[in-house]
Amino acid sequence: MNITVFEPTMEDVSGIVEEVWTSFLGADLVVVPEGLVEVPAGEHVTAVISVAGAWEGHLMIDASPETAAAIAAAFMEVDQSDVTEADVTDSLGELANMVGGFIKSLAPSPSTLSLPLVLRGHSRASTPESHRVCSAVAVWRDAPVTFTVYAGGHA
Amino acid sequence: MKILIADDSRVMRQIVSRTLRQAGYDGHDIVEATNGAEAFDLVQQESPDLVLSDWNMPEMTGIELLNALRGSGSTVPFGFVTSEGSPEMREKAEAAGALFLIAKPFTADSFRDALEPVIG
Repeated sequence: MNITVFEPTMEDVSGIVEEVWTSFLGADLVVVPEGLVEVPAGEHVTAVISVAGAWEGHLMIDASPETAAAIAAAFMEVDQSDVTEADVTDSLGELANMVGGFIKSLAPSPSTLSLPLVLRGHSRASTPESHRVCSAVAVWRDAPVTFTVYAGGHA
Repeated sequence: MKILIADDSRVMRQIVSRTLRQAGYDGHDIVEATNGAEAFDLVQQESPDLVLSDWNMPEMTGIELLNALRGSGSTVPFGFVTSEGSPEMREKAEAAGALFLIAKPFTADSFRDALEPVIG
């Protein structure tokens, strides 16, 4: 039995992230490898989306609550003060949908894309029985947004 | 003209609506559905001239919606606006009767290119 090993690269992730930012947030951002930018501890918002089928993997997006709210405000073209928690959940989920959908399009088929899940807390979410494939940090308005792809396991 | 936008993300429905205006399609009535099942009912009730649908939605996916519409005899012009823009998905969309598939993220130009042959 041939098993196709698929491992998206940081360049794959950064390309689609830059496209989303340019198309919908009207802004340039810098994407760097994880480790070059300090990601502060504390509360954060995490969006998770999964691909299942010929390839199994997950995408996690992490941002501080303030950065997540800024993303929502930029998507919606409103003042950040007008953004609700539901808007943040919606926006981060849709961001995961776009980046996750692109990763799925690169992965072996057939596969399906899950609906996104958005979590809030101080602990990092984890995906049992999976390994980290790549990670990229997008720096936008001096704040990091981390994109991490895992392969295998279930979210 | 009436356009139905089906997407479980309110933010994305807003972006689609905004992009329609930016593409020159302003002044149209916009009807919104949060999932495929709701969109199916709204097509019967509102008789839109065009459906713009996400693919991945709860209750009923976009492809299930299109199949249900065609199965019910509806010939409403239908296009996908989805994060899943692979050649495989485009083939599935076309086979089911979609007129186009706009991949997210999109621009006003990509909207205009897809919609002009359909609604002018």
